[in-house]
Amino acid sequence: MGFEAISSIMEHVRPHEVFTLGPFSITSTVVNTWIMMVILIAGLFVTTRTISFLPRGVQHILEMVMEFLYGLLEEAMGKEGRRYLPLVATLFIFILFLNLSWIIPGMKPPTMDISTTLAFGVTTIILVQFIGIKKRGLIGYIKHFFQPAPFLFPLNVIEELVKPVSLSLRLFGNMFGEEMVIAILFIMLPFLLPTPIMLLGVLMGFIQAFVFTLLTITYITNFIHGH
Amino acid sequence: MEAIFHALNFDITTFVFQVINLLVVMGLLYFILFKPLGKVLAEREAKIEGNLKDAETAKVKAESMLKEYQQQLQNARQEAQAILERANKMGEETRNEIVTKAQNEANRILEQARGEIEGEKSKALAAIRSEAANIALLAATKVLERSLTPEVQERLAREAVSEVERLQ
Repeated sequence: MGFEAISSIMEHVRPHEVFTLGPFSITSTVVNTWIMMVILIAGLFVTTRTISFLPRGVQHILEMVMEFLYGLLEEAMGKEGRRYLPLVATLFIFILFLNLSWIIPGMKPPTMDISTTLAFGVTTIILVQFIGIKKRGLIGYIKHFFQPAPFLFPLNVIEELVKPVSLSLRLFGNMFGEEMVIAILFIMLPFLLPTPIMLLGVLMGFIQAFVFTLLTITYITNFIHGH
Repeated sequence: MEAIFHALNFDITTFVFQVINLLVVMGLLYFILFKPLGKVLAEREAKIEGNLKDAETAKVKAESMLKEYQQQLQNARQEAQAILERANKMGEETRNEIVTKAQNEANRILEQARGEIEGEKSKALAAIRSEAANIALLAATKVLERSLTPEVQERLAREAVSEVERLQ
């Protein structure tokens, strides 16, 4: 199957240009992300104004998410893992929000765009490399690529390079596939069936955000505790 | 490679914007959410740990107090038992003493009564003897005034006295 075939399918979901910012063309993906960012940040800003020692209302949910991620980090890295919460929790919350943005009518999840998932994957892996350098020192970080045996250096480098691709394609593929299934089912059987599939979409949104987060934790752990 | 990216709708501008967006969200969430909520969670954790420690200390103290009280209770029981035994012993001794005293007193009273009775009896016997002798003497005197010699009179009187004594 040639790229033309893929291209013709992807043509239907190509993000359209909304406006230009100087030389840059701002696509619907970026605009949708901004909308979701505003909702997320504004919602959290309002919610966290009333944070108290004794939790009330939405604070329970936020604490539950934090405790859950603390649990994952501590399980992998012990108490030290807590310091990586901002990276891990941002990925989880932000990707979850973007994954579930299709709930808003007319909005296409930005995670359906490979540009978004690749941006997240690359940023995450670069940050993980920084964590590795900070943790092991530059020499230790470079040495890490020659372990457990020096001849594995090329494989280790490829492994690091493949990580962002793997992260992005997994998230993109799942979100794209799920959206396609819903779209096709909606055309074939507009009543009843899309609803349970949409519920499945909610679950998928959670699972994909969780998988992305869990893999990030695993990558950080690799640098902290070695292979 | 470029063909793949193009086929998958990859757009470098969107990529860069999304990287910036992610970093912005990370920064904002750090100040809006993670920092304040992390602080509250840490405070709560510290408080719970403190409370658990306090509870542990209180438990140890309570156990030691319980042990102390149990020891005191045991001592008090032993002391009470000792007092009871002492009191029983004293009671027994007092009882024995009183009984002995009473027996002695009773014996003494009995002896005294017996002595008095013996005295009275002797007195009565003497009186009877004397009276009988007088009566016999009188009777004999009356009889013998007419027929007997003084020697026979005395012999008869003696016989009469000895008869009275035998009768007694």
